[in-house]
Amino acid sequence: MKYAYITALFCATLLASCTQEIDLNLGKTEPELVVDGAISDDAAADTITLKKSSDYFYNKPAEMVSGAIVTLTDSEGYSYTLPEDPGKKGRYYTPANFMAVAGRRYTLNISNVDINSDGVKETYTSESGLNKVPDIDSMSVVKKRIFYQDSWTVRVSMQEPEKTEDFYLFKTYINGVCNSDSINEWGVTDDQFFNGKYLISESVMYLFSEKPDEKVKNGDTITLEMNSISEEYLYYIYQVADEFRGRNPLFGGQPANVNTNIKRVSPASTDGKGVRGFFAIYSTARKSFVYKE
Amino acid sequence: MNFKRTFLIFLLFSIIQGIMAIETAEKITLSGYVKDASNGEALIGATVYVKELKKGTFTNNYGFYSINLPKGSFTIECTYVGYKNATSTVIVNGVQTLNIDLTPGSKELSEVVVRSRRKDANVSNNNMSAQKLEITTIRKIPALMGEVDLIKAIQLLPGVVSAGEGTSSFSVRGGGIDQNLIVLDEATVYNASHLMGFFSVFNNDAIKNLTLYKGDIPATHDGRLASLLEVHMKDGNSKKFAGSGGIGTIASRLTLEGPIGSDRTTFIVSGRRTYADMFLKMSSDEKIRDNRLYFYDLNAKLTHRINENNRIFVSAYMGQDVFKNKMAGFDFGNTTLTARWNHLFSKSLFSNFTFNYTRYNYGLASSFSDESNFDWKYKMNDIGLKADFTYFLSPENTLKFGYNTTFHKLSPGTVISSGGATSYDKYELPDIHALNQAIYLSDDYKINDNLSVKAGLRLNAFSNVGSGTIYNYDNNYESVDSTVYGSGKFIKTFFRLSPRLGINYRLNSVSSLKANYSRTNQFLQMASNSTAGTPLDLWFTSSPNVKPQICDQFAVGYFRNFLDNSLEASVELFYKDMRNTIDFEDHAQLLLNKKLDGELRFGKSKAYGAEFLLQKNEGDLTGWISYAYSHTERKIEGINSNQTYLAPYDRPHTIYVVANYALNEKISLGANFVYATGQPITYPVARMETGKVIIPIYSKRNEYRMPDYHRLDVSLNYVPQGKRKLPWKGEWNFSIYNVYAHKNAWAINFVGDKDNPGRTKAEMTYLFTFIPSVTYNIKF
Repeated sequence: MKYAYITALFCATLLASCTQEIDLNLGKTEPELVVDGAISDDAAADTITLKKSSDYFYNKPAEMVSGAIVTLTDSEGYSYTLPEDPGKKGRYYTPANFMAVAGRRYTLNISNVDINSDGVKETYTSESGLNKVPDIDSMSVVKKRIFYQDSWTVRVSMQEPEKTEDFYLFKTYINGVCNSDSINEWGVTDDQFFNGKYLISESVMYLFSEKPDEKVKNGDTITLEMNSISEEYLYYIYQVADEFRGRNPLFGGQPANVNTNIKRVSPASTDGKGVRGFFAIYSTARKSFVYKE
Repeated sequence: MNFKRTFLIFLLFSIIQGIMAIETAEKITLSGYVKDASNGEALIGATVYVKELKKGTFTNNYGFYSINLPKGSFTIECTYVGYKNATSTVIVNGVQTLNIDLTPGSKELSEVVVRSRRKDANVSNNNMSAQKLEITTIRKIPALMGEVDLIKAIQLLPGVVSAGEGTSSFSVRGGGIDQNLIVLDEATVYNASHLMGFFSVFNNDAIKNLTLYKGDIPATHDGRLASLLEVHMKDGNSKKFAGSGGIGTIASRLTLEGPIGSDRTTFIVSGRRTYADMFLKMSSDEKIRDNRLYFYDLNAKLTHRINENNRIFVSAYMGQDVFKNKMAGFDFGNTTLTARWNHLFSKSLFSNFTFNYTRYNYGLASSFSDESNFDWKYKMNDIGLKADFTYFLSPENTLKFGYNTTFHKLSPGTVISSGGATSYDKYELPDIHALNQAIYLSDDYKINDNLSVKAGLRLNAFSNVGSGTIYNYDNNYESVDSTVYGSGKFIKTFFRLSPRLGINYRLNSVSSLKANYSRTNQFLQMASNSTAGTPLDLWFTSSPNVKPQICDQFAVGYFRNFLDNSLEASVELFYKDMRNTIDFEDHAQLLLNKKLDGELRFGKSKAYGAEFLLQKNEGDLTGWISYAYSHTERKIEGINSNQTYLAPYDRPHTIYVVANYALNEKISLGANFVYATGQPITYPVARMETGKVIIPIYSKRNEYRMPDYHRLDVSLNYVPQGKRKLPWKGEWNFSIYNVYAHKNAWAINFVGDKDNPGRTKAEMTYLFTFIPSVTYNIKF
């Protein structure tokens, strides 16, 4: 929500404080499974990545989890096994015959893994519904000066569904290359302020010239991807972005682990430990616009 | 509800009638006011001692005393530290008034000296865990940016710790920052900080004195679990027109006071403004130049003595803080207004009727592009009436009783979004209304020369009043439905008793033992995710979903004076047991949330500790050394897997050393050293990769500690004695905050390394290191 944006900005400008790196001795804990993946209903294949958590100062890429059995089952009874990418360990992609259908519920199952290396194989599961996404009637890109730099506002016109409580995730592509690929760059919002309204050229994403991969040139094709996500996933994204940005005593809260919608069912975990990350499934709408100065 | 209140008021008046009937029969009352001879300020806590009877009493908050005597001739001695003793002989055969003016006896350096205790008050007062601070003591403490701040002085007392650098919030005996009742001339102040907590809302040129009750809160007050900070404004010089002020590097202030017409009417007006943004305008960076950052505040008071038995006071405070730049703006402020009428029903029944009004508001607005703007306004209003009576039954027995009522209206906010072509609806959170009523009765009884007892009982009735919406929640804290109440309807009333008991046993003339038990109830608390006080904190009330918080505090103390009362020492031990403690779930959504009570989690907490204080009040070297140990923990359902964890203000060891040395007539040096164990903090114990970023996985809540906090401040006060006689008395103050520039961690964050993706690091943010400042103060 825009509010989060403002407070982050506010902190940055107000405090002429100093920051320096410090050495700390931190504790350790047993490795946990980290599930990172999002399934969308578009034609392209989607990937679920399985990794392990590591010590805080590990400073190497996370260890990938290979050889797991990953399956997706929908509420109509269709079941799919996601094969592991032979070239990229830990990545399990949706098979060619997989189609995500809005309105169905999907269950993710992960088995045949032993994350904490105690000799006992574990099973993890998660469940999520696939929400419908409205159509984008039209989009445009307009240049504006914001935050003391040139920026481009990506705008949409569309009818926001009134009956449902909707949550949106936006990403942008310039000439087919995604420039908002890390989670803190995604645009997310709920529909609290505009539920049921017809949005007229509403800005949903901002591209700033100070970031080299967001600079827009004459003739570039800007593609906007709009995904209808679940409320749980929206909060997951907010929490991850908060954790990534760091907290300040004025606006931040108590540090707490980011929520997860995945459970370890065998051996059963009583306090939610053992697995982190999120299983997200959503429907996608895209629109493109050729930017002319 | 109305019947009950009418009945109580009727009862009160019957008592008063009864009292007036009784006393005219037996003893004769001697009463009057004790004032400073130079400016007419009423002296609070002056001793009026009858030599022949070996009995005495103290003046109250308005400088009034009353003592019952048999007929005869008596020597009355009035004493006050910092003033010359005044002795009068009085022949008592009928009700008599004796007003006493005391002449200040201190050195030139001290301004309006309003000392509040007699020399052995430390040992003889039946007050423990209460710390009175004199303005002159505060002025000698080196201060941040040259401005002496009352709250910064409070933070140097044992048992008190600052909630964080750059904030005026403080924690008393491990309590939360919203558990301190701050009262300015009987009106509540909700946020005592100015921008970023460099200054508090108290302008010490307008303040007469302040008392911090760390436990042993008198029955006249309730509503916060940890402490009561009672601040009184000056009445204004009734003898002549006077003023004082100061020009500093960050802010300037001016105070004017004096009589209007005769000495029966006095006024005082004090104003302050910062101009930090003047320096920002000199920056070469456009982003910094555009920032506007300032605060101003104004204190005003008018006092009028109608006749011997009636006085009226009107006091007001108004302050506003503004931060604005091209993209966002944020402002907050307090307003308080008090009107009081002192009325003497008889010479031994003193009464005070108060009307008070408090308003606290803040706003956050964004204007970063012309197409999408956002405006959020939050405000709270309190309107209250108080009737407080003090009955001086006899020199050994003082009775206090009264009735207080406050109506709270909280408006958590309306957000207006505007600018784009799509028109957004207003997002409105419903107003919350509550009525807090209380009656109390307390007695101070001196059983014999060695033993005095204080007992009090307060009955509170806190009611949620419509219009309002109460949400109902299931066992998973999800709201299932809600009930809407119409205007004026009483939704729920909580009746809570707050008993108080205190004993002072005088072992000998230089030492005493004190013990105290008090129960406090809290009906209004802050929803705050942050560990430092921020102006964006929301207050919420007890309600069908939120039970009032309760605290039972037990304390014992040993007080001893050395070297003819010039050295005071004390040891105090306390234990607090608290129930219905409130904390917030992980990732709580507190702002703009209609269903705020679904984010709350409840449990219990406890705190215990020991405080040691050694204080020297006389001589060229004055000051104090204090050490306190404390421990506070909580156990809340739904947090930290239901296991006990350290409360955010658990600071096991605090050491404060404050010293002032008067080198000669012109120069005095001051220094203070602060050490506090670091705050509890939750650190990561692992990390995970998700969506192309790396984020921490955390330990149990508050399992670790931040680095310890310590700093040294120094100051020098120089009074030039030039040959040229200026129309004012000037004084220079040079101070340095954090002399050895220790980088005190304000926040520790765990973030990705921007230059080295894949690498994470721990980053410490610190605010203030070596900060010098210069202020020129004047008095005329």
